[in-house]
Amino acid sequence: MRSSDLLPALARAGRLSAREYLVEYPSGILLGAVLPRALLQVVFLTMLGRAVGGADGALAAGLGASAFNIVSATVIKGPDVLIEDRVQGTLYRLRMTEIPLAALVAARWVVYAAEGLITALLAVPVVALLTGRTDPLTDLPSTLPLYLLMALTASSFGLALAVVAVGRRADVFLTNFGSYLVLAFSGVLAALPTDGPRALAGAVLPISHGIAALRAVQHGADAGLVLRLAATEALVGLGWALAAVLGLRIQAYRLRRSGNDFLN
Amino acid sequence: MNHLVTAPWWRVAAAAFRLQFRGISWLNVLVGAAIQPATYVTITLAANDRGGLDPDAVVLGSAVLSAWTATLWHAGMVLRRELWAGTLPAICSRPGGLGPTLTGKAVASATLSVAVIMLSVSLSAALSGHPLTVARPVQFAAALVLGFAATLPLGLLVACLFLLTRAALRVAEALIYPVFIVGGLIIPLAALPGWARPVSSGLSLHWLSVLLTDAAAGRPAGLLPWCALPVTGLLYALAARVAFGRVLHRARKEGSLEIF
Repeated sequence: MRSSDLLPALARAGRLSAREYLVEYPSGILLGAVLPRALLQVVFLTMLGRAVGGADGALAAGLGASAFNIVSATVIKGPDVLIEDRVQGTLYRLRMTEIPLAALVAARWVVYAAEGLITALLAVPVVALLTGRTDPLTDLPSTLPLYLLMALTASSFGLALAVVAVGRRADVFLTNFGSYLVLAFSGVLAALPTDGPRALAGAVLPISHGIAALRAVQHGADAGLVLRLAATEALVGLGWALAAVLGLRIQAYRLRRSGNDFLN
Repeated sequence: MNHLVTAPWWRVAAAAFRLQFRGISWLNVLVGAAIQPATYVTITLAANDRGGLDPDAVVLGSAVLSAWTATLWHAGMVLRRELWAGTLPAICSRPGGLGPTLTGKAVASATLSVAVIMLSVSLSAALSGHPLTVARPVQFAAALVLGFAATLPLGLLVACLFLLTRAALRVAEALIYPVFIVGGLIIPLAALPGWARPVSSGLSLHWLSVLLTDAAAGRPAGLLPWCALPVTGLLYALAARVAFGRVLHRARKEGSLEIF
């Protein structure tokens, strides 16, 4: 397939995925359940941050919680893009198209990344309100690229989990486990320690460096530090994306040998 | 539920209890009852370096918080799963009825969740360097049993309500955090705005958390939590009875349970 044909095909796949998303999450559900859940999650974590760390703790937790909304959308819900096709028995059709499966999944994933990004950005005014600080809002033009970057890195992580989950009947467990792993080790509630097992785990998980960059911006750190943290976040995301693509290739190879999509 | 004391009712409930245990999805139980409380214990204790929160209150609060998640996702989904499996109409039309089936399955689900949650928070607290100590084990055990009895009707109520909406999964997601916030489970009530504090009085889980924390700390619990816990449970039971009647009405008289 020529690249001039590929891009319109991927755009169409993305549009159809958005329509499918709106069937699964119609406006009533989006406004009545998805958005309130995302904002209340931020309220809970911000208040917990205040209880353990005072006003500074509330701000740190609020910024982390706003970014964690991206994970809820891309790590828990996003993998359905791949898993639902396995459940419906239509995954083989996707494998047979000329469009590379990874690109097709990425195009269909955009809507979940968009949900994560939008809920994260909508949480920022809530954090400002709860902490009585205006800087999360005034810093938004400079932190917006960081949220965008985290939407990409968390999506890469979610896709890698989806690849593992698609061959097993453990998708609910794996996606939720991945989400709690990020909550526990990515410094969502408070900054990670500089060394030890938590720091090590956080170093390879998505959004941990992104959250650190958000907090650095809020503390007025120099642009060099923020850029270094953002570059590290991008590197982590690239690693997960490569792992996901490699996993998809291994699955395709094994599928051709065994002829069975359930043994991948 | 009209034949609460008859032997067949208990036999059906016991069979439903066994069936629920046999068909349990361990991985799903682990997510809500083991991983979630362990995560909250770990992150809260790690961030609590100023000592703003009592470590035992954090550990037990995380346990009660996960009990709410288990109530929604495990006990609350009992009837929904029957509907998805296509077995709900058959249960409704059997002489045994829906009541004992729902009760037996909800009790099995809640029992398992409570056991896994307690194990998880104890282990994660110990690994975080704050092993859970219970100064008054009898008071603690009594609170746990009473809390279980008072919160189970909440699971039955939620199970019935989730059958009356197609958006049960999304509603369950949205219901989690309001209780986390206003329940006074990990976040102290003093941290809430004044208008939000009375809301916690209507939650059996709040009173359970108070009783468990007092028992762990060796404080004699006041009369209020011991009275409030069964009263809230009774209110949930009455509400569950009404919701259950509505479900049966839809199933047997309107015949619309599966087509809305």
